[in-house]
Amino acid sequence: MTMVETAVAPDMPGSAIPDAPVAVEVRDLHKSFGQLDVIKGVSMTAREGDVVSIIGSSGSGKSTFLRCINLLEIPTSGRVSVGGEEIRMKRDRHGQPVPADWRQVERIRTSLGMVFQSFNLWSHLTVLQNLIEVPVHVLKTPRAEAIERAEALLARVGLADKRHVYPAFLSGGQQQRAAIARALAIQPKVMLFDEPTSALDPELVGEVLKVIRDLADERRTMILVTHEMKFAREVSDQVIFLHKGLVEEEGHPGEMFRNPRSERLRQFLASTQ
Amino acid sequence: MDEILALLALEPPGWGGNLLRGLVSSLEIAFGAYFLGLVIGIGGACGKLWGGETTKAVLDLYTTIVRAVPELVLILILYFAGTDLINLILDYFGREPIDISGLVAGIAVLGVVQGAYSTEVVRGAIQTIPAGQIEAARAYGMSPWLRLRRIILPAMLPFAIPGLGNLWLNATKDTAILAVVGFAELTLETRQAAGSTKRYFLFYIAAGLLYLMVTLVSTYVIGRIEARVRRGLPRHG
Repeated sequence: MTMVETAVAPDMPGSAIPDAPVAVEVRDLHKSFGQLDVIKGVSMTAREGDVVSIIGSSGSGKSTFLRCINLLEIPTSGRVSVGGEEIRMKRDRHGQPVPADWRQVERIRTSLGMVFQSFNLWSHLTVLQNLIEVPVHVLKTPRAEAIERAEALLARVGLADKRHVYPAFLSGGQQQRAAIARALAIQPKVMLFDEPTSALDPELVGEVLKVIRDLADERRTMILVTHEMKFAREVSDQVIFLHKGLVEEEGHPGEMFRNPRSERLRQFLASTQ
Repeated sequence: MDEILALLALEPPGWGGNLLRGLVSSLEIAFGAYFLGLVIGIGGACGKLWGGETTKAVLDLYTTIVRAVPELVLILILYFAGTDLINLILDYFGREPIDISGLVAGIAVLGVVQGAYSTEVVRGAIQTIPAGQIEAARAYGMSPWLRLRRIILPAMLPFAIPGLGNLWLNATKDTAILAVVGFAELTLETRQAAGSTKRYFLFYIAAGLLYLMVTLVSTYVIGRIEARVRRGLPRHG
């Protein structure tokens, strides 16, 4: 155990390639909803090629933390940088933090492929239309090129024959695979997964995890909020265990899961067995 | 029978041509007012959902008043007070008063009435869209305008079409109220034909059939539109 601890630099626990460029950096992030402090100072560094899993019980703030990275939630304080570019913030006339330039936020969001717990595919568009919507209308990719890439992605997630089907006619597992393909279609720098299997029937979890595992194997940068402990342990380079809005423990998954240092992580892991 | 056909003939002394011209005028006003109302409705719904407090208060006042006051009264107020107001403004700037065409006035007046109802229909429909779909549009970097145009408006249509369809049928019938301000739409033309010939029953039945025809065609078209925009929704529930 001592050997492992000394082998890993303390400021970047378990980074896959320790000197790779930083993809996402979060410093001292706080988020409150009214009187309720949900995130109380969390930092994280994900380098290119890293798979970072964020685990914790419900209410630990892990989803909120993820949603602060693409500003679906506006942090109360702290800094978020994507690809070395910090999201500029200011205060509005009520003293509330707001982005200084929404266009910067919109631009940065197109480099973050988000996958939601409840899929959130656009119901009025077919699967293929869902995949080309952002490339064509936001990124201004030529339509033919966007379609070609989308069809390749659908083939990859095993949905080639469903491209003209509307999302409501797909199973949950198929919808989530389509949603992952939609995220990949924007050619993101980083993939953000917000509990991607939590809304699925148990028998459909495997097909979605397989797609995510393939992405991890090709060293895609990913930040993954999950309840799937076994999966997090297998695919992650770095695990962050959040408890009540703070990092209770972080490090390399093998080490953390084998020898949890904190009592809370021990209890949490025991409860998820 | 020959006499009835003679009365309904398209060429004078028959009155059929007048009735059809009235029908065309009614439809022009209905189309114009409906689309004006739809534009007001989309703007009004966005204002009510995402506007500031002043915007919301003004829109609440607008929809409440328009929906509370009988349409006949509203049309009299808006038509006479509206033209007076415009001419007062023109006079203030030293311009000659103008004669506002019945068509433009009719479209404007009914459009304002339609707009209040459209606002509520569109607002309700937008609120029915699962929030996650709008959130996904935000997460993928769509600007507010793009979100509205590409996601929110098309996604709310299946929920709005029944209400908007009803509003279209109302629009076609509300044109009849414009008879009171002397606009030569179908109902006024019918009254003139009936009054001149004393054949009230014949002409009002004829007008009723024309209105019915408009409704039947509209219902068919609305049904087709509804089926089309509901393609993405599961067929049950």
